[in-house]
Amino acid sequence: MLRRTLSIAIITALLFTMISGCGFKDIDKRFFVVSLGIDTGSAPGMFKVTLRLAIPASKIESGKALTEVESLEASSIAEAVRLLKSHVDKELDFGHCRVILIGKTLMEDSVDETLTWLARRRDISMISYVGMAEPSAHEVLKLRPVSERYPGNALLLTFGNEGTESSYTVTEYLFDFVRRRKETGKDAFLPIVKMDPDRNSYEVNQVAFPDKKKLRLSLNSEETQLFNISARHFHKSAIAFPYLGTRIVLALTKVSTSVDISTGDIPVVTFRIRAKGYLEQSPPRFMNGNIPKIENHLQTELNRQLEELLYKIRDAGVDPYGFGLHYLAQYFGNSKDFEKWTKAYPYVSFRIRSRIQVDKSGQIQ
Amino acid sequence: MLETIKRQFENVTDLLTETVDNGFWPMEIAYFPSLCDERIKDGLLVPYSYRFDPDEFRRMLRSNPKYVEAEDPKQWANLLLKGFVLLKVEGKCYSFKSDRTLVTEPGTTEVESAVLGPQSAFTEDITMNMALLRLRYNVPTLTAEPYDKGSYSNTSIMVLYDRELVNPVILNMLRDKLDRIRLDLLLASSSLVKELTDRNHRLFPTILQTERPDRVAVMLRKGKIVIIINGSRFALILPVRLFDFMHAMDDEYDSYWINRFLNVMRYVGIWMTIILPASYIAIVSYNPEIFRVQLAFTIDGSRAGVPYPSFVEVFVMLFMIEALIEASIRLPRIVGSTATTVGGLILGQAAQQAGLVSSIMIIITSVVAISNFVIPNPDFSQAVRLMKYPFVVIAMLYGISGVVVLFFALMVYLCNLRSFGEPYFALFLPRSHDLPNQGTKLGKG
Repeated sequence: MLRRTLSIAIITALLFTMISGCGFKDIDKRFFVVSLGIDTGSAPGMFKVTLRLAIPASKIESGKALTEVESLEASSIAEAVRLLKSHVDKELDFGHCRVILIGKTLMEDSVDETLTWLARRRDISMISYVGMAEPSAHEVLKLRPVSERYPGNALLLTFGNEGTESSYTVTEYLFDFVRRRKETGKDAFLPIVKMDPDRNSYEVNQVAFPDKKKLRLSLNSEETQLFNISARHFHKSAIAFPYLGTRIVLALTKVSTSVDISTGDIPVVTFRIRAKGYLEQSPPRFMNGNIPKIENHLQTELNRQLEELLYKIRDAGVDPYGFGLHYLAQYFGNSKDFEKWTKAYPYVSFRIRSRIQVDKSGQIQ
Repeated sequence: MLETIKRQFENVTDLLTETVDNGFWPMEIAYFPSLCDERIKDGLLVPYSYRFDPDEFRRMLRSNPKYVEAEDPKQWANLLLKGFVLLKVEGKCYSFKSDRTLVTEPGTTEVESAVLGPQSAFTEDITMNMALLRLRYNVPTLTAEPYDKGSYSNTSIMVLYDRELVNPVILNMLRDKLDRIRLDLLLASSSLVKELTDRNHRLFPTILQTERPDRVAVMLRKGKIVIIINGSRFALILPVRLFDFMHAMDDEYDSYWINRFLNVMRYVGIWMTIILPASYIAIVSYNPEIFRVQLAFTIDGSRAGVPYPSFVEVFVMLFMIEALIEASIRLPRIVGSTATTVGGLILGQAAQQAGLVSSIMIIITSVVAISNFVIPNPDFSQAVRLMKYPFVVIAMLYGISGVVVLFFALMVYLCNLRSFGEPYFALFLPRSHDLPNQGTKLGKG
């Protein structure tokens, strides 16, 4: 009995030596990729992959975060990454790669191959933030922001709501990006990451709309904010309205929207938006403090701005709001319905119904 | 009588055997002076000597419950060893109970101290322990069954239960097991525990040892069986569940929310002490993406100078902390604090500065050591202390998935465990107000 247990134990121990723990690599033997950039290469069909690698330090100080930027061109992304491994001394680890930037030229070309690679690699987490880099991912990744405390931290904190929460910055995750590119009747959007003119921080205040193949439209920062509010219900924002030469600023506290699409040959999209907020900046004795009158004025202004934005997006042939998906949801959603919608989409008209509720500021006058 | 006894106790010089004569009756008397106390004087010698009256003496022999007829010569040796006085008058043998009680005061809690609860603990004397228990659980249904175990130590033990509440199946099982026990020396409660559990290679204790009479009372109320042993400060309680080991007596006395909070903290502690060293290896060497970015870089930075892989680091630190714990138990009290200071502060700090271990590992080791002591029961604490090593080994080989699988296996093992036929990991038991009440049951029967 004892001999049997002993022999089983020995055999198990021997089996253990055979597996030898694949993937055992200590954390200090790994090179963490903090951001990944993909551009078009110098020749057609070539890719330029840029990796920003973290050099960890036990002492943490602002602006002292050390990173190494490695970039390489190859005819495929996978090859480029494999080749890059021979340029560094430690094992590349994509586990902490939370920001993926795609160069503008590549976006204008096609992002199909890039996305397939990103989606297939199991070590690239799907919760990474995706953005479009302008002028190129390599240029943006080379930047070393002064405020960066951890390697690659600055760009990471820009997105999501961990660090700054700007209404001009839209956040897009990799999983959502991949999903939107597969979904019929819904198109993707990507934040545009630029370098700050003084070259010490990033500037993320625009949005780019690709359709299923490539880039179609970029918005300016005002429109980006409006998109962020209307499509993504981002309520920590302030909308400015011109009024007799000055500007009134409405700070939002709550936003909700709903969409109705009428049936018919050319559908009419009714876009309802309800917003709640208070006037952050307005001239004294503005409209004699008549709240309904102020609300009315703001509503007409918002209607006009939104209508402009929606028609602009429609004319570019993209659908980041997902009106098409909404339309399909009203029918059986087969391919014939979608065909009908794609034909009709360039001619749909928008009706905006906004409802703004201005709260009293609550301060003593 | 004396001849028989002398033959049995040959060369035993501390046995007193004598034939005394007061002028009326001769009396043969035998006893161990070291085992008997002063009661022999008032109970036997005074009535026999200068206050002697034959009628009264006869009446005393018949009526005093301390005098029992002992005609069976086989019993004599045993009686003498138990502290009885044997005497023979008028051709009849009697035993007189005069055993010395060494302990007259309850002990103080040393292993399971409570802040608000009673501070008295069991002593090494069985009669004192019975008194302590009767003080807290005082009903006519409390039954005590005496046994003598250990063929050389002849230790008297007492099986206690409330006959209204006890599960008779378990009681019979225990009686069977007690009958089958063959022990030379029964010196501590733990050796009885070893005999009572089926398999010796058991990771978790399935019998609870406690020094607190109040815990015993609580358990008796729940229908458990208690064994107290002469010469041991600990009572055994069975059958028990895992959750009984995690129960501090303070839980009975604290307010509701504090109690809940401490309970949750205790389970978090046990989980941490088992998982933490293993997950350090698994995360550092297999899946660093589990950390937040900041933490990953900090650990990366602090591990940069460490020459060995993570598991060597873990083993070095765990060895150090185990040695420290062991040393503080064995060392004399006065030196104990020195060892802790040297080990904890100086060695930890120096090891980190020498680049042998990372600073994160120092934190982990301390957390592991401290949270291990959060467990209220020392027996269970030891078991948990051992549990982290299989986890470390599996983390070394299989990373985080190995840890998860082993944790699952541990749960399966715990579910499989039985304590006297009762499931060890049973979550749901009858609540206290569902237990049969003293009055109702007594009224019926």
